[in-house]
Amino acid sequence: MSFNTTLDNLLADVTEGAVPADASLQAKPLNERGVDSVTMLRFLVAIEDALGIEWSTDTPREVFRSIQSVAAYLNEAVSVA
Amino acid sequence: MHNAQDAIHLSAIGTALGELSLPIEDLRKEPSGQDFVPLFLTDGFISYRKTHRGAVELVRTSVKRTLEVGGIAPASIDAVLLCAENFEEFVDADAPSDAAPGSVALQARLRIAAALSEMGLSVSYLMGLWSAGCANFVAAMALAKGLVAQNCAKNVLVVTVDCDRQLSARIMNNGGAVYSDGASSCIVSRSVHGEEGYRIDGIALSADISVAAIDPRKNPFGYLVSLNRAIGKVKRGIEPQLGRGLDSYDRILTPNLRRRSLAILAESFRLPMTRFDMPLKSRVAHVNAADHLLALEMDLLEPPTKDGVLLFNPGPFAWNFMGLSRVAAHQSARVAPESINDPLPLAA
Repeated sequence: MSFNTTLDNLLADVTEGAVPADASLQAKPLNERGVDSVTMLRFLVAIEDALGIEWSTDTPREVFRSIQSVAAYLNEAVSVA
Repeated sequence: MHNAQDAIHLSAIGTALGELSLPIEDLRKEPSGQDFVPLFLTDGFISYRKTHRGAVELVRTSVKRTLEVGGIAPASIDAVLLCAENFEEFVDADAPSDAAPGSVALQARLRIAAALSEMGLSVSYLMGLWSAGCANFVAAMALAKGLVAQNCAKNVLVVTVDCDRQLSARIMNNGGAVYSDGASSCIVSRSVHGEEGYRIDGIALSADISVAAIDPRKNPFGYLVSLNRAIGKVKRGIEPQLGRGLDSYDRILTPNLRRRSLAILAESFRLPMTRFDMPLKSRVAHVNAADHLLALEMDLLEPPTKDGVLLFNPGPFAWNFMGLSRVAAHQSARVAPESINDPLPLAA
């Protein structure tokens, strides 16, 4: 299972389209796509709600670099679980 | 509805800011300054206040002003609640840096007591509040209100003061603000002292001290998630304490923080940022717990709002609210807050 598309759509939702879903930009750093700390907070909460997970507060910061890195982390977590 | 006899008021605000106004740009050379100074500048911070006079003198000036504005005799003050985080700032700047912690605390206590005593407050019961950072302020208001309500004291002097001798300590650890030196004080009493004050309609204290375990510089996302989760846990308990919905206030006075930091708190509380107001942000930066009395002092210069004002008092792991309504009195003339308006010029 890949989370890339789900995450892309969630980000587009929480930003009301200001950061549109775009598969070609999934590796681009989120801050370079205009995701500020408030948007990031909304995004993290939306992921928790949509996927029924809870972020551990010691999740490495590198995980939150891009859609691709978040998806890779979630894929890894699902495969371990 | 408030019974006039039961009402407890906050009035006679007196402030004393650091006498020097220095450019935020100076902080660029400090660790993390390169990262945060550009953010501060784009978010409206211009300068901060620094004192060479020390915390004791700031307290003295602020309390003197409160006594003048309130027209209140020092001997009528039964209790003093002092909010401060940096007690080492009360001791002499040239004191040995390897002094035992206990001796620093003792010296600070003696100096504060001596200063208050010299001003005629010698029979006031002196208490100290620390550990909740800026959120010490509303905690002190809750205690002061309780002392008055329980008839343990008629007039309580609340004093907030903080200084940061080291430049490197001026940037808040989550980059939320630049710290200024300053003190502010007020009287909590059944009557309004001075021309005008506030009726304290409600107070809500909430905290999740587990947030303290996360260093926002090392783990910004963990801090963000943890903060949001903590506020989610405590926020349902706030409105019953306050006696009114947070949403029912059109104006929310906040501390002088970066707008981005406040936006994260607003998001977690589901409050619109458009209602947040920081009257003095660009001019004084963040004066710790004293920010709130400064904001109220500025508010008194404006026409009152119909529905009262909500004061939002966040700290590193506490989030307090206080609902206030303006109340006029006719005891003494209001003094313009000259300590805010007349700093020394920006230093080069």
